[in-house]
Amino acid sequence: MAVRHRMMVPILAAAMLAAASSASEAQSEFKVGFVLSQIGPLAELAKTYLDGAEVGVAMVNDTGGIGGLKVRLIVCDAQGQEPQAVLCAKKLINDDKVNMMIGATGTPQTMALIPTVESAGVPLFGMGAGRVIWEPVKKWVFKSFPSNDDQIPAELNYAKKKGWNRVALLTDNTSFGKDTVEMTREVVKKNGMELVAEESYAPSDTDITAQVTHVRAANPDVVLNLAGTIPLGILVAKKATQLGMKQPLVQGMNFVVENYPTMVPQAIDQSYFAGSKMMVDLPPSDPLYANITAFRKKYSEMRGASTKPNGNTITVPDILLMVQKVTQGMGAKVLDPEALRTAIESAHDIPELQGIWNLSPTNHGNSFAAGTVVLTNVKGEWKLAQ
Amino acid sequence: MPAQAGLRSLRKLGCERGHDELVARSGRRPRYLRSAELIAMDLTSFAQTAFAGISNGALYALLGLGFSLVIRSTGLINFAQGDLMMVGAILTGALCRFGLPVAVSAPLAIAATTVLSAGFYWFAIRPAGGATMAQVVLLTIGFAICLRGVVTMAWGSDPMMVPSFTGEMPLNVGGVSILPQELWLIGVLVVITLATGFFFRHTVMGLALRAGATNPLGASFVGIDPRVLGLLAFAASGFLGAVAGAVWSPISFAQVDVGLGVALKGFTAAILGGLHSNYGPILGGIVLALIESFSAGYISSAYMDSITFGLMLLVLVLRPQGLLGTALSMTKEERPEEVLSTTARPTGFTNRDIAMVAIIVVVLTGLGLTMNGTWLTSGIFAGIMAIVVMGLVLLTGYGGQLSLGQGAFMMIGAYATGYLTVKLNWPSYAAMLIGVVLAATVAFVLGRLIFVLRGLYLSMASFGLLMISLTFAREWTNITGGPSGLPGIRPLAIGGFVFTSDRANYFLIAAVSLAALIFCLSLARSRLGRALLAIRSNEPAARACGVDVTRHKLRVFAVSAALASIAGSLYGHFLGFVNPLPFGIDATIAQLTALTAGGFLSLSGSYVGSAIVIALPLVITKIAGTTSSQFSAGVQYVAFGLLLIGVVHTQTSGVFVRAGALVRGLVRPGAGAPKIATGKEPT
Repeated sequence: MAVRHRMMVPILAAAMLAAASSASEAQSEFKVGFVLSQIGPLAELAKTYLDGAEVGVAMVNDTGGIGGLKVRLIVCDAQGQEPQAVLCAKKLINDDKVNMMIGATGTPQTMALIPTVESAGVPLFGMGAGRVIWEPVKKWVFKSFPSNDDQIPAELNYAKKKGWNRVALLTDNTSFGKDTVEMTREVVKKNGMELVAEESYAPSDTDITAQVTHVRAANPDVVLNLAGTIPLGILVAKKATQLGMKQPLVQGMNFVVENYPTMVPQAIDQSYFAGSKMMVDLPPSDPLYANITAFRKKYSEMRGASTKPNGNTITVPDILLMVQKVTQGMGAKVLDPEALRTAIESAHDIPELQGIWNLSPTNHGNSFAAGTVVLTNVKGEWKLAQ
Repeated sequence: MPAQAGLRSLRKLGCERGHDELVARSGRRPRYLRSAELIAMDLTSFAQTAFAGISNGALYALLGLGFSLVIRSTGLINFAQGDLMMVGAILTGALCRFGLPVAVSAPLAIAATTVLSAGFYWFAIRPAGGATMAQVVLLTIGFAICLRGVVTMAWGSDPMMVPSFTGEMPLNVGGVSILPQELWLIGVLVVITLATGFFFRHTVMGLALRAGATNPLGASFVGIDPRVLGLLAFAASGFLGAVAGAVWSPISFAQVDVGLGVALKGFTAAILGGLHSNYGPILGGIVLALIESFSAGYISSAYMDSITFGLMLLVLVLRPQGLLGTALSMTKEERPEEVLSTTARPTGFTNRDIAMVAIIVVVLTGLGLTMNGTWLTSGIFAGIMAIVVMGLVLLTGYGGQLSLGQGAFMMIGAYATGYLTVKLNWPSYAAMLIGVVLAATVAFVLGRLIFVLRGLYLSMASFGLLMISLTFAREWTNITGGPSGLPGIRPLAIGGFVFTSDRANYFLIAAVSLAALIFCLSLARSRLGRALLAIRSNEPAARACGVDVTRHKLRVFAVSAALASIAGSLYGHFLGFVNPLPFGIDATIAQLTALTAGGFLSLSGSYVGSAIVIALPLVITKIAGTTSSQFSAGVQYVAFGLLLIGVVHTQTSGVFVRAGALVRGLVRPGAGAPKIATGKEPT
């Protein structure tokens, strides 16, 4: 037997050498699985996320990758369906053996992924606005981007500053809308304001006159037009101007995209938006100034000067850059999921693109307040609201 | 009531603070405040809400008219109606973007869509002459998906702005704000209503269409070609859809996803007003939109869908011919089902049944041991779907009833499991049982009310049920967790064994589906199965022979509901999470596709059909490589639509039946061939 064992050694060594090329190749990458829906109502959003993600990967790889490993993005299309999102998660985890995941598009799909990533033990940055994703804390799941708990306080604090105390809310009846209603009620109460009307509609509605008429009758100082999808937000803005409402219309961050102002030109003068600092020129003293400037440079190098990034473009780059920072010096240890998660949870005062990252084992929902501002659009240019 | 009168006058002055003071001074708690506010909704708001109802009603009416024309002349539900509207809107927008004035681009878009729809009838539906109603409905779904795919490929999924015909400046009529485009929409509806009346009363074509709708056989005797009627109806459907799209989209926007939701409303409008009456769909559209507008304005927009679809169910039960339909139209002959082969039906299991089950056991086990990763997970979803499809084979294949609402029963099972196990900590099997009982009861009650009727009525009623269930799943947050869903469902456990791994779940679902298969086979081979087939080929004859038609249909509907509920429970346990979205109309379309692909009378084919539907996106993704662009998403749509059309076309009863016939033909030369021709040997 001993002889056999001794003979095994060179054979094994040879086999390992033969396998070495492929094995080292597998070890030389940090694989990020990206679940997103390229068809369905959130497809346009998914397009922007992906566009930014590609730039983000290039940026991270230019500066040494994650843990010294090149980052590779593996995309899986969930097609707007929950079971398909679960299939994607399983494929990315079992077949592609990803080290980290980002996705899916919207709260329900993200919720559907969670049991899978929790049992597999892979960090997931959940791409939904619903607080259920990170509250209560789930071991492997983190918040990805500014959500209602960042944008609604920003909007209502601004409204309070302006003396607009009678607030009306129009939103949809999806999970996003339910969350919006809860958050608005909370902040209105905290700010000592008054919620005078609260109306909702289905994303498939073709007419929302009744709801807008109701809002008009309540005579608010300010109208929060917080739709989950842009088309319905357009419908609300169009209807409000048609019904002669002159009140300020405050839109959510998802509306801060290049073509929105051109779609409802009649409402743009009275429109305000919660938005990312990405959209405006920052003073060099701003904590996000350096990072945002670097991103803009890389983006225009890759995409040309004519296309403009927005708040959704920077989501994935922001996450990747943060992970790069917190895993610095870990080397190939980033491939160990527990070590990676612990590193992410240790993020402390890290300014990136969407805000400043502060995470802990008991808080997986970062506050992006530092990167969230109120904007207006003047002749196609995004400006800080005065 | 001085307080209320004072309140009203204060409201009129827009003085909200005073309103509060008044409440305080009158010393009464605002118990009546809500009703006072309702009264205080002044006349202008009322008029504005009413006008919005009418202009939105014009949109529903145009689509409802399209549905009604196709149903009257061909007996089909045209699922592409909404997507034809979308194409009309997108083409108008795209041509305007190209630089053409809207006066040119709208007529061009309408003409193109009309030709497209007529062409689809002529080249895709007409040749599939022997297909059953459900199969042809599948053809229209395939067409709809193709349209969506092509539009996604060409223009992406961003909303597209379409210019108004005559300016955007709203007119002010007595405080009511009216867009010029809304007047266009209403005007177009008036013109089309007048034209429709003239067409049906005074033109040869219109009279022929009515004749064909009342009695196709009789009409064909006097030389009215049903194919010409079909062509005409589909051209009209494309025309009405495109007109609706081109005229309505400037009020909102054109987008690839907009079709289906609006079409469902148009369909409801047609049912409300009367599918078989000339003006019914128009009245139905206006009534529906007014109800929506006022319930959103004065009650709550949250339960708006429940109100409208509840009303639809009520109309179906109390006045099935619709508001304007005459009782006479109910006597209309249904589209004749295919003639079933006349060989005697076997009683009890045949050797072939036993062999088939044995083969399935071997194949399922083999797949379960060899598949990994995505394929294994897909196998689980396919198994869950197969259980639903088996119920549809009994209901649609054997019973001849097309259900569009099995998703509602799946939801009942999934939420019963979710709520009872998560919130009340019940054991899984008890929750599953409650789901089954609940689903079967709902089916029984709905069926009791509906099955006095025939034909499309179950389709409409089950569709209404689905829509109402979706609203409840969304709004009844305490029970269902609302749109965010109900997380935290534990995996199923039997005894001490917990089904956590995919492989364990696969074998669990394989076992349950086999039990369902054996149960369904035994039903199909029993008196019930034979009675259903008799009803399906000739209901009056079956009735005359003493077959209790209603009882048999009820039983099979309840069985299919129970199976869907079990599938829903298993889905909940496997995914660990339930939300309303996956049970919507898309799921219905997937299930019907699986039913068609597997074969309408083939219980074992349920597996094949479901596997095809689940695996297709995966296969296309593998072939297309990365899916990192909208273009490939569009390609995926088109491939799926073409496959659907292809499946219906290449065989009239599914690949599995055909393969079975082929095998039989090899074993016993000559035995297979004629059965393909008659096509309907249950397996």
